[in-house]
Amino acid sequence: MLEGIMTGVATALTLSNLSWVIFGCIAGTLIGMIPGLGPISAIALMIPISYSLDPAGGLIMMAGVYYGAVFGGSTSAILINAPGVASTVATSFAGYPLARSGKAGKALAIAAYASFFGGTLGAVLLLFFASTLALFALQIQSPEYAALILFAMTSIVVFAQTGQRIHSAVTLLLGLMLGTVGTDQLGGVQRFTFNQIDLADGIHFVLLVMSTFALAEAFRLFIVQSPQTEQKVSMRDLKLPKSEVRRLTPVAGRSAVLGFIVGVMPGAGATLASFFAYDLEKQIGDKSLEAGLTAPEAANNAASTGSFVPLLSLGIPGSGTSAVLLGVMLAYGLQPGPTLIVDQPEVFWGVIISMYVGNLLLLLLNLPLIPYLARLINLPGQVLLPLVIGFSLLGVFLTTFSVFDLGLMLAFALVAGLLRAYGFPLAPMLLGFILSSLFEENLRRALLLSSGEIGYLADRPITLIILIICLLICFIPLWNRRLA
Amino acid sequence: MIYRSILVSLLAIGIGYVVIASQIALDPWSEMDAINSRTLPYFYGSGLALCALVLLLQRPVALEVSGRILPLGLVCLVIVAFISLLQYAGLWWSLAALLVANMLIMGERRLPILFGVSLGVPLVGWGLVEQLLEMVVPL
Repeated sequence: MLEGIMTGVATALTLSNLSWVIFGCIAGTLIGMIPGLGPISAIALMIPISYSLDPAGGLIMMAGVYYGAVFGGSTSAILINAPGVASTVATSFAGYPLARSGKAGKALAIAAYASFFGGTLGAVLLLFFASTLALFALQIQSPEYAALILFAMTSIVVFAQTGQRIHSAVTLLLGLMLGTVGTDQLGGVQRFTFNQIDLADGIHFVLLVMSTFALAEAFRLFIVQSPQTEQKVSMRDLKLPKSEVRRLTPVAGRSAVLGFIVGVMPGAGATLASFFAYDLEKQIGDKSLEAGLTAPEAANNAASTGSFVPLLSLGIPGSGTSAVLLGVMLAYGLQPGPTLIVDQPEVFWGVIISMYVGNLLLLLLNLPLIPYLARLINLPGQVLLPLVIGFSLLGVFLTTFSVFDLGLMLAFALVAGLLRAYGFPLAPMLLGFILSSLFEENLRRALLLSSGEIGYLADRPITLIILIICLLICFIPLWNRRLA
Repeated sequence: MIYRSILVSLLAIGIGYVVIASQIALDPWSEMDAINSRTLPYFYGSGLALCALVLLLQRPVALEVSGRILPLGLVCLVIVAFISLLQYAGLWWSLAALLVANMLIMGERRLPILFGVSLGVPLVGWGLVEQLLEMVVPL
């Protein structure tokens, strides 16, 4: 393996490949900051450029584009509460309040450090455990996914603030219901579309996230006109105090490991990882905003790296982004899978090492930009809020190119604003929406495999353990009440 | 009053959703499945109705309504106008109009800022999206 690592280092650190990874980081950051354009779009847009490079150079550039786009998405999530992609939604939960409280520079710096930490730890884990984890990933099938998703949904309600559990359940159910709109993938029938062709493909996630977060938040700020704290950020502010580093490092560590494991499972991806990590930290870990930002950022970067395990080891794309990358690799005539490491070691190891290099360069390139980015939030309300509204509508339109969706977005934003004003948390709605189709597909697929026998779920040890944990956590509120 | 109306609406949405779910067309094979296209929607709809009912029985949440509801209504009207204008004026001109109208509603009166922002942002957007990334906006 040491020889492989050296091959990877030699490939990734040539002058031309370093230049391409720098270009990729910058291009990815710029594209990722545009609401609606995430890592998948960024990679897809860079495919024509990658064709002019050799396979290793092209894939190394893509690694830079990918990490850049993830960081760019986090920036808009933190500064204007507009997470353009699903994997940065959890980032906005703590990142945006932190930015609003006058710590935008610190929030962006924490996001950059946590992403770097998560990506680096992910790359190290990938280096050592790729083949072992790939075999583990194969054990995770539809019944385990369905149980895992049920666990995620249960925990978001059970661990909601006291007095908020039913409100969380309401928004979770609304999200699940919205997720059923469109063509049922297994049954092939249209559900809740009201004969609207625009709803046949379902509601786009970007639409829901932009309306419930960015647009609804702009409306709320417009009504409330909360006092804005001026952001004065210098390079010195980006250095975190030692006590804070000591406090946040374990958060980043456990979130990165969790994120990597979730990322390894095909189909789970960075979104689930970031939600899991945020939720875990909020419930049983460090409850500060800084930790709430560190956890999803470390987890989503580690998960993104983890999703390369099934791609490189088995040739199975674990996420949308790795599916696009698989396409790029196939276009180069490379066949990802167990033979890649033998046939093209410079590509296999080069990609792994370039992930680390991409992470490091992204940190070095973006840290100096943070003071300038943070000033965006200092814009006066009468300029910032129209910009947020404009960017939200633009983001959705560039994603779906549907005028109908813009109308739907306005309606959702008004409803979301009203629900939020009366204390209904909106995060469970997004989680429900993301998990709805995943849950239904996996549950139904599991039951198809077992010819409809529900008992089949309990015959699988991993599924059974998750279901038992699911049942046990339901008693936590009762236990807490008894203790109180 | 508004809170109760929200809960009653949620209750109605839950019940309506179950009713519509019961009308989803199924083929004979799917009807025999343990879980078909209707099953989970039944759970979701009835769950929502049940939760709304429980909340209705609890103490209502009071909220003070701000006096800035009217300008917010104007912002919504501007968004509706933006959506209607898209087909005729194209994305970037509509975006410019949206920005300038919203800034005016929110009290911005400085002409350099009004024109700088409302023309600068669409120009940068056009350059980045249509020229650099070569995306085609189908309008």
